[in-house]
Amino acid sequence: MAIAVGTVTPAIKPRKRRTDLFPFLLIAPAVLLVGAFTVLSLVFTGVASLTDWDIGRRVTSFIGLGNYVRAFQDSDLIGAFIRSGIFVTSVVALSTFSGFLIAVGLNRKFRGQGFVRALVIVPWVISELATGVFWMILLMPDAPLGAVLGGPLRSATGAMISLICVETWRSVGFAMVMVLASLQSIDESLYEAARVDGASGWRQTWLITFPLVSPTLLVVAILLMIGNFNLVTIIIAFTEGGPIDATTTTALYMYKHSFQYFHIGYGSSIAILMSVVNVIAMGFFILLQRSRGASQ
Amino acid sequence: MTAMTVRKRAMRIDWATVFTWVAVIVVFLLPMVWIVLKALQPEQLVFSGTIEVSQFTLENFERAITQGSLLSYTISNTIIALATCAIVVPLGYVTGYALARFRFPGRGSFLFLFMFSLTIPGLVNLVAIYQLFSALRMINNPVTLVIVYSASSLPLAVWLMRAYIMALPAEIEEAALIDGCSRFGILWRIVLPIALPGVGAVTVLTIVAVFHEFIVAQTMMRIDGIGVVNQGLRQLQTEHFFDFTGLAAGSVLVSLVPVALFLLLQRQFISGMTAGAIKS
Repeated sequence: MAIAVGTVTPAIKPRKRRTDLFPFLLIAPAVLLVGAFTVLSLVFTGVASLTDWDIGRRVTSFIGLGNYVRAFQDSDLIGAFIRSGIFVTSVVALSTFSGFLIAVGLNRKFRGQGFVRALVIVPWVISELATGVFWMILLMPDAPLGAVLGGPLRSATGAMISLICVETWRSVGFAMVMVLASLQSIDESLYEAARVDGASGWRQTWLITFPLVSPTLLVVAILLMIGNFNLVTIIIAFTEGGPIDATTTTALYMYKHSFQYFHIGYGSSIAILMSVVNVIAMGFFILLQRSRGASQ
Repeated sequence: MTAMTVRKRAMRIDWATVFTWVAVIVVFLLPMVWIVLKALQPEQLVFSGTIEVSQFTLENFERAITQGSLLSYTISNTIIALATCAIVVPLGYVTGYALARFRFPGRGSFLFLFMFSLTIPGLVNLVAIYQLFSALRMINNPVTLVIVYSASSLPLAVWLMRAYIMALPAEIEEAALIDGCSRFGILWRIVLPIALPGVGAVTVLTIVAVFHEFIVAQTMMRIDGIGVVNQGLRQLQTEHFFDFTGLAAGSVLVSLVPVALFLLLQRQFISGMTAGAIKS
């Protein structure tokens, strides 16, 4: 489709030799609004990260890379980065894998297919805060499910595992929708050929579907990685980062420093470190999209 | 005979289907239904393993609505969502159109800006945004939320509209141009009618995004009853932590609008979910 448009577009363009201002007029408001936000905020945060800006301090001064030196020596922050790593890796792996399986399962015609698909997406549609609140209730030590699991939110490991499960529960629908969309583009004749050769359903799934869908799985993984690395709302509602700091991820740690202790300088330096991680993930995302665009 | 074979075939497919059904219902439906039913039970039954149909009550919902100011939050959330749409939908449409149909200098960098902003989450910018609006004396002002939500929803809206318009044939636009239609006329009278499904998807996604939002509103707005619904639920959680049935009712109430929109407009919603990543 993109190719067809590409050949048509120049027909509109070469009407004038001089630069046509019309498209600029159309994009100007959105570019200004989005650009001001993204660029100005990043610059502001970058500058603030070089200061000792703190609610308890009268005079704010530049301290160079002091906040970054502090960050690399802050064992709480290093712990938060490790917890983020565990949390993000687990959620991404679990939701991509189960999203794939459910999508493959749903890609056949059966009764109630639409209902099942909608059901898996609903958790992605419920507000994050509500999800955190009601899973906290379900996992209370006295609640039926919480009692069976021995009150998982009271222990550090239990709370982290519960958080991973709840966030996976929420994200599976997203992964499934994306995989279902890319399944539509697989040529049915591939399966027919495999069936003629006597390949079983499982072999077809692993040897045909999985390789063809894997670029989409990678895109899903990167998007979920970015989303979960920056996730705070659900954690605030679910565990508040506790018990002690067992579920305090980098994002929550940064949020607490900036908005609860008002260590604005230090919070900004963590935000910049987080942006570096985000930009690296986004770089992979763009490269991936480019290579897919080129191969199509 | 034929009826028998049909039935047999149905039975054979059933294994995988039954497994999918059971797994999906236990994992996804059961927790949500349980919370809805517990929200309808009296407080002392919150942790019991059974549901007493004879004791259904709406008192938890009443409590959630009064203690969480949920009615007032729902009204202000709706106004904020509609105001955000009034900015995001038209700007997303014209920008998506320009990026889909024109080649102009700097186009690549503008595309990059939107892609970049699409993947940079609001959280890392929150400190800067707070300081900026605090300098403008616009903290506790709902207009601030509309501006922030517009800026953060626009990248996806632009991306979606661009993908949608790229898939539409350009010949009608050329014909209209030759017939003497103005360029704004093309935008308004020729492209808009056929791009309406895309516009619909952008509208649904923007409304749902605003009803999902919590962290920006919690940072920028501290007036009881003005802001987004999730703030009302958070208020319940911090002030009445042990009112579990009230909290259950609150989580049901704040999820109503997004879930209803999703169920009514599934197609637009799903196309919006995939457009950000599938089409490039």
